[in-house]
Amino acid sequence: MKLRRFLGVFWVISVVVLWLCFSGIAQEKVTIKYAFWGNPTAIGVEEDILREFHQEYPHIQVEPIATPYDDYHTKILTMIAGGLAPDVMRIDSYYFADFMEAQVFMPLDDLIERDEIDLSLYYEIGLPDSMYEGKMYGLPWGTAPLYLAYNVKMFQDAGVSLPKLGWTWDEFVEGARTISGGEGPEHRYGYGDPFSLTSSILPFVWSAGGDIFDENRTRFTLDEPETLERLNEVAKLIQEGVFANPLELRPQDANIRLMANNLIAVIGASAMQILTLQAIEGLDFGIIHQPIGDGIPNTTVVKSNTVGISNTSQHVEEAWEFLKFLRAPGGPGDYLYAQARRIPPTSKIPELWDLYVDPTKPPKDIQEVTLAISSTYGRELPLRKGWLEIEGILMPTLEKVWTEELDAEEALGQIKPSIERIMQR
Amino acid sequence: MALNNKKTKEVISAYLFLLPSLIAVGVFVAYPIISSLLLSFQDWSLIGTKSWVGLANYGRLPEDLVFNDALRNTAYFTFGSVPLKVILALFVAVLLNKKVLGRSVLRTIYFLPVVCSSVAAALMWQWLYDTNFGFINHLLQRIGFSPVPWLTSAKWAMPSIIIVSVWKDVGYYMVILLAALQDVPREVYEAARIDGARSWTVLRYITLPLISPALLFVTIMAVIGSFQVFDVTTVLTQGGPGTATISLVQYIYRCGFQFFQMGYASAVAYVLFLIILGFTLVQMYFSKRWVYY
Amino acid sequence: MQIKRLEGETIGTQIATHGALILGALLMLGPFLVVISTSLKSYSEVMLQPFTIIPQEVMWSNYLEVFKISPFGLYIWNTIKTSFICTIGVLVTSSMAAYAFARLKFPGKDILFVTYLATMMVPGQVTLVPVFILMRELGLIDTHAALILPLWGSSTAFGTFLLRQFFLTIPNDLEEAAIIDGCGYLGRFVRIILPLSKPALTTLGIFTLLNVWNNYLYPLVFINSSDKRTLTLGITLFRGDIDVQWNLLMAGTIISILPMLGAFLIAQQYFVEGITLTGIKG
Repeated sequence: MKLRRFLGVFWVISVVVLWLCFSGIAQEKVTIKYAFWGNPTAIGVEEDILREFHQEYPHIQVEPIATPYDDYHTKILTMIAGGLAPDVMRIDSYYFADFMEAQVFMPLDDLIERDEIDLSLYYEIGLPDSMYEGKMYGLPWGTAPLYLAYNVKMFQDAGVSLPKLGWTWDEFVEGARTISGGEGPEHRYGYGDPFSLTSSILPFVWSAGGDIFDENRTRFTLDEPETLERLNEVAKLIQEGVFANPLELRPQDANIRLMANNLIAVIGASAMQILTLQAIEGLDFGIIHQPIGDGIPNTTVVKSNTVGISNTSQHVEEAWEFLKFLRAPGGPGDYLYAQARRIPPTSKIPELWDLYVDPTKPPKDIQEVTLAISSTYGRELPLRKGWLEIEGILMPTLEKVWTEELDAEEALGQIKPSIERIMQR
Repeated sequence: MALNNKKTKEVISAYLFLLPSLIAVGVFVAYPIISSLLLSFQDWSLIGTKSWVGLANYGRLPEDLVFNDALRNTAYFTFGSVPLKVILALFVAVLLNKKVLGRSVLRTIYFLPVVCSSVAAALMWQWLYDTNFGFINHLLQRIGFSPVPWLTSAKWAMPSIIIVSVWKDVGYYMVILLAALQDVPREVYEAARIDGARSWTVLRYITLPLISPALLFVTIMAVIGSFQVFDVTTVLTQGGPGTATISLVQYIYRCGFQFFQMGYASAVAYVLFLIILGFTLVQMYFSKRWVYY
Repeated sequence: MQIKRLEGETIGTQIATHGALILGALLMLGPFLVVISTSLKSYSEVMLQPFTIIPQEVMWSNYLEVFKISPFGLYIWNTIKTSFICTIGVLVTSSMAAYAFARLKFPGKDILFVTYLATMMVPGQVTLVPVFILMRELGLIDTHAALILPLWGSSTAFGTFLLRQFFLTIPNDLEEAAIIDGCGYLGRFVRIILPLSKPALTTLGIFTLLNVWNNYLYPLVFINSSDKRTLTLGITLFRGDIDVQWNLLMAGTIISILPMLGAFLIAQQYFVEGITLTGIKG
């Protein structure tokens, strides 16, 4: 009896001990860091995703690092410089080339193949922004066009027909001319934008047949004749009061405010800005692609950011599990992002659109327009190393063109050497 | 022998008194500054490899158009805002030092702008200065003037920023000067009055000299602070229109954290440091003539 | 000829004085009224013209919303904690250093003082990366120590300068009585200099508190976990990349100002009492 009891207790204890050992090993918690930007609402969405992930993968603890957008990349840089790169991080495509040159992300092609991630489910136009030298270094995030939003009332009041798919530069300018008018603080503009390469300059230049760089992105080509002509035309439209002065629209949300007060008929609008427009009661607006040029339908920027895994991560497998959850096409992340209705779906899965579109709010045809842009009217930015620095020199100089202090040729001639110097570095 | 002992004792005591601050300043400020000086002789994109380039970064400066603009803007800002800040701070401090009704309420009100963060202040004023929706232009139009493009014209941008900076900092310097004024014993004023001195004379020959150490402090701090202006220019105008308001520190930040050139940014920072140091030393030198201890 | 009385001055001067002060006060207050008004509006109203001073619908709920969306209470506590610890550290460190510079003779005095002064001339953005690397070596990333230590350093340089200027105005003979009594340097420092410097110490305390309270750069870079965030980081989150939640941002700003304002009001009382308590200086 005593022996049996002893054996019994021994057996129970051994089982318990073994169980503890193995469960400890199997369930050893791994912590990874995930960095992203956003305002409190956006952060809420990420936290929802994390909650779901933790339920499904209890042995992986994801530590979120949320930072306001303006200083996000500074923080990431400091972290990387200090050897504390987050395991999984989102990077804006403007910075991607520079980050890649410093080998921040690890290549993902092998993992993508191994786990059979179907890249064809992504909208193709968003993929290049996650690629470097032909390989994938991240999964796309936030692929979305930069639309134009238009004020329905202003078009109707001026008797101009609403923009339709396929509208051209000439229709755009003519409509703007007809709508603009009025005196002093009541002056109405046909179009207004703070003017950045992404929101206005490149689309205008593209529709004229030009571009900022050549195919290899090694030559600066903004000073070709068609482009110069277009830039001068834009300057004239600003002087005539048909387009709003971009400098006046510098304060954040200025263009949205003016549109809300029926003073600007067409503005550039990102997916996020559509949210802002929706929050304004009583504003009826629609969205459309950028005006196309002669035989050049793809004039609308489609921008895509990237979420990747750090090259110095100590927990690549876990980071990859999380990245898949977050960004694999049709994965949980896709559904949660679509449900949150902040950015259009990045994968070609119809249910996502059903979740994303809010039929009670304008714009009514967001799905139609977005799909049309993805297939026909969209174009990726010719991003490269030093993009922001180049834009930083280009925009102030172009301002002198808008105020007609210089004409486009002189202005670009002045800064071309500096830009070429940056490009050669 | 007794003298030597006393002197040694004094030196040891001095260093003991200094010890905590030596750690604080030495480890957390001086050492990073030296680190950053070394960086100015290198080329580093913050992520990736460093390489020594000697004085190349410094050599790039004279031809750098944006650097020159930043230099000019920072000088404009400093010479525009410092005299205003110091004089207004002094003026308000003198007034508040008298027996005025509601003195502590007034003092708190003047200090209010200091209390809010630069970012908040700049956002507020951006709202006020807005060409189409701002309150200031709203008032101007009521009176019959046309709206002024405060933040978007090269002519008005810097003055607008100077106004915000003065608004924000006057209370800060005022509090210091007020503390100094309150240290001046009443009997000094009494004696002067009995002698028949007028307000202006009292101010000029008695009050100012007595608070001159605080005035020196305020002036030096105002200059150093102005050369380092960053928050107001970044939030209000992002350095624009064009490069009309970009400040040196803004440019340093941009070069380092947006254009990935930490070495070059450090070089610009060191030039700024030398400029500020120069100005401060000159001020300290001339202070011997007008500061009384 | 008008006799200027000691206690007051001519009626004309008094009116002018009060008038100027009140005008100035209105200019100081004006922008805040705009902030408060914006903080009480709905988002739509903020975006629409005409600019209204009194909101159509006063949304006190914005303030609650701020607390709901972000753990503002926690942010306030974190900010209070880091500011106070740093301030106390700075007061101790700077006053000791200032005493040495003001009263004692020792080799290297001038050079050391100029060095302290010089460290104030290099902006924080420049030393950011070396400081980050230092904190990483010390294993202090994502801790409040990383916020306190660098600011302790830079504020000490500032505080030493400020207090030295004040200590230099205290007459030497005040300490002589203590010397005769056999007091060492420490005694003189604690018993004579410190009590006489209450206004200056209070001023330094408030400035340091304010500096740490409003600092944005260090919390941005050093703090990762949301439960360690400070107010400035919390507020700027409302700024977003495209959609700025203006009304909430302004509400958050007001909330962040109130504690500092309270501290200033309390300090003012102490400051005033400090002067009257030290009596008339001979």
